[in-house]
Amino acid sequence: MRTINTVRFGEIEIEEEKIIKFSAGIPAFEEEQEFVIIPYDEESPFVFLQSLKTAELAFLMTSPFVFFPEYQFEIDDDSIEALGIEKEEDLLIYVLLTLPGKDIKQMTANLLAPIVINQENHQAKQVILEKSEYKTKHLLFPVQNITGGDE
Amino acid sequence: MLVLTRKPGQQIMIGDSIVINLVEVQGDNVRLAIEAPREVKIYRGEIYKAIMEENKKAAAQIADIDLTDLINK
Repeated sequence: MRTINTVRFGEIEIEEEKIIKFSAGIPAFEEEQEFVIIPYDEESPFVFLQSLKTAELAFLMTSPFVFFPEYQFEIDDDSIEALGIEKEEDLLIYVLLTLPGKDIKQMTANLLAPIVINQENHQAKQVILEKSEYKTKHLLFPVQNITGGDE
Repeated sequence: MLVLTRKPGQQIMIGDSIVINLVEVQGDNVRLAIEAPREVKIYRGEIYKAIMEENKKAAAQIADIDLTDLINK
């Protein structure tokens, strides 16, 4: 067990095997290499990616497939090698969420750079989908056409 | 910062394992071919920068986020 400090959850104890290792860090946070996933609550698709090193650093993430059922991408060979990926079933995929203001309906997901975790060896990476059409901001709840111009 | 002038067909070598070939210049587009070891990551600068910026924003907002409204949707 390891005891870590977090701003959101206070002091928590985590098992060593729950630690997720980003051996190259996360872009803009290259020094942050160890994280743990903490569910927002038991029933929601939201989780926090909490840094072990920096108490105040936690990213909010979600499983992309809940909000973007057609989301798909190909993982490049380098990432497959770096993460030691052997089979697709071992993978856990999340996307980072950003909230521009206070209105959570404005929350966006970064589909251009998903977090890929190999559950077999706990290695993880933010994979940049260089050739995809995805962007860093996709609204989780696309704005409905309230004027009803479809008819 | 080192600034070099190159013509199409010429190269730049970085260390002994990275070669940048200037393939062609058309208007304001420059086409480069890069040979580098597999472990060297190559990204278009603006994509990597955009992801760094987005990550910083994503990290800056979390402390007391309340998702109750989203979950109940």
